[in-house]
Amino acid sequence: MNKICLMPKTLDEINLNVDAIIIGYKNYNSLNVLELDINEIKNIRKKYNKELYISFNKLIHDNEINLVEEILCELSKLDFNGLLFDDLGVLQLVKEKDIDINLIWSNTHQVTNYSTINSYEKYGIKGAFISPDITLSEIIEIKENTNIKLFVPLFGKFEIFSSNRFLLTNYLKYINENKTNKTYYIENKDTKYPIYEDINGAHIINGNIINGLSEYIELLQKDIDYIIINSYDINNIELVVDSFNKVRDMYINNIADDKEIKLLEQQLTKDINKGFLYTETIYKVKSDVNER
Amino acid sequence: MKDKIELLAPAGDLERLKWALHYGADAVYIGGRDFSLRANATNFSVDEIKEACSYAHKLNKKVYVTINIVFHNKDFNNLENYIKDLEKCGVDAVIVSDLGCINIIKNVCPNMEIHISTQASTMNHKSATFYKELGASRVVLARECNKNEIKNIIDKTGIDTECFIHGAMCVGLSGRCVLSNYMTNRDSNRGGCSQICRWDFNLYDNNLNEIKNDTKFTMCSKDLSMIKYIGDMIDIGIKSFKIEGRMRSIYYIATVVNTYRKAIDEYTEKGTYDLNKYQKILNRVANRDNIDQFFDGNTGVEIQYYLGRQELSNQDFLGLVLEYDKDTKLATIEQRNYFKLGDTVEIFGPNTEIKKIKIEKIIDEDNNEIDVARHPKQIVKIPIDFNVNKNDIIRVQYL
Repeated sequence: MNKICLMPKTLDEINLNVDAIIIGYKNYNSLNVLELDINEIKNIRKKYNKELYISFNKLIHDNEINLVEEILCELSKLDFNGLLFDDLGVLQLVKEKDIDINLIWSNTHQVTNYSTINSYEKYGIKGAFISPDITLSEIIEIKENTNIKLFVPLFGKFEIFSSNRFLLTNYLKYINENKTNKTYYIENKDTKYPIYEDINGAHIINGNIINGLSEYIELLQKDIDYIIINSYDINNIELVVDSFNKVRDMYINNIADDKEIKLLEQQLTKDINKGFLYTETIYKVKSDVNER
Repeated sequence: MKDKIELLAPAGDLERLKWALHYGADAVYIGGRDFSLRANATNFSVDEIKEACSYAHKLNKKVYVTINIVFHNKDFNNLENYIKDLEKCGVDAVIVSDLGCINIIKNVCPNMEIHISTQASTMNHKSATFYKELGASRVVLARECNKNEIKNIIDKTGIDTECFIHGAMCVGLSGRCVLSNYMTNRDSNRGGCSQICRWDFNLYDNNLNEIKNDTKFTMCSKDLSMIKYIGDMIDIGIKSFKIEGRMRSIYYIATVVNTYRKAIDEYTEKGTYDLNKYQKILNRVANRDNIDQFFDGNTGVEIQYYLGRQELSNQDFLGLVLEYDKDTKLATIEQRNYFKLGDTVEIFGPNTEIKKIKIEKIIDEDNNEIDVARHPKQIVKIPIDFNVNKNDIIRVQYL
């Protein structure tokens, strides 16, 4: 049974009608999602009866490893559903110390094929957060060839760049300006991409909202485990969550109607942007591109 | 006696490979026509990889092949056959980051040496240990590692480490940047990166007011140069020193490789090297400012590059020695840039120390004395009163 998983930007949004939430572990997360410390996460666990996934997917410097080990041990005492990770140091620690945590592979842009996911499964991971940069048919092919839980980002603005450099701070210092905002925007072809810094460096977020509501039916048919709604920079998140619930109910009751779903979809975003769901990226730009 | 340090150079094609090895690299890394992160370089066919290995092995040197893309489902289609071909070619190691790819290599070619690419962004000893237990013999560390982190990883794991010492830097964490995908549809993780990080952008604040300034916002980074820290890097136990730049010119490759070769050898022998001279050479051949980046923990404004796209084509490469006649003391030169009578130039090579000469005479192929060598690849002779070798380089004098 498919579940709707929300990446909330505020605590209030956790009340929305979703089955699961992803919360960032403060200072160790690389997703654009609400971040909380361990005590706040424990409170969430007590208060809400939803599946809880914790994002711990930043790349870890060597001088952080001892603390990371402590955090993982502390988290293992908490009853939650899975830890999103990227750094293989986390996997190694869990393995070495036999820490009881379900690991979800969440490298934002490298979870792109079933062969690698299956390799990770051999190391005990329980799920994978699919990259938002692959096509719908690739996602379906991954589902058909893997056994672990898949988390498919289907709505929202997801991260497209992270760096250990403080790009905003450095630039503003260079031009003798003060950094007065948390979030700035860079512009490319009339699209404004949010850029912000945290303790780890700089992040850039997609300037377009991916709206995959009408693809939800196909993913339901293929038994995708979780779809992800990212609330970052979304003003009508309640409507978004309601719409996804509606479509799922239509599917369960066998009354899914393409026209109605399209109408719902159009209410969610001014432009309907499908990201890479139907677009393959290119990488060879010379004349031999067709040889591949 | 310190362990021998490997100087590892990039090679975008066979010609560059030969130059890199000739000028002092102990090993080269190359990409095949598929599976490599420089999809738009010339790259090597399987036959060329075989020829490359044969050439390198005769010199007692090594060839590593990158298979470092982020794979999509269909990208695995020909991978097994390709890996078997690489084994038949005699490739010394493959450089990979994808775990699925690593498992395939271990299954089809269990004796193939595996190096973990910088794409894996390894920054701590636990992830290095994971790769070591997986069977990797070397890890190319993330460029964001500082000196203490590198030393700790080496001390705690014992795995061979490789670190970049020179060349362009990714601004984002390796493998975690898809700006190119979203802004130009070119896949940065499969070799098509359009280098968005070097673009200029309008920057807006939270209220979408533009931050107006003559210097537009850019993420562009200075290049890396570790020439100041060669001693430190040797002392902490880094095994392989990697130069970036598979798409660089032969002049760049020869100059950079030769410079680091000398620095490494001098330090290994004497505990010191001529930093000022080598720094001057490297700054001159660069087309962008360079700095040591994260090694000393620097993440400030000094590591960024705000001077705009002022990358100028380097005109220092004047000619190539084709042969030298000891009796007539005439060197046959292939012109690569304009030079004329009376110019003072420098000559250097793998076995030729940098020396200055004044061009006293230029003789063309018809045996006529001429004032200037002006035509690209023109063959001329010039008198040089000391021995020079084939493939020595003549350049503008600046030392």
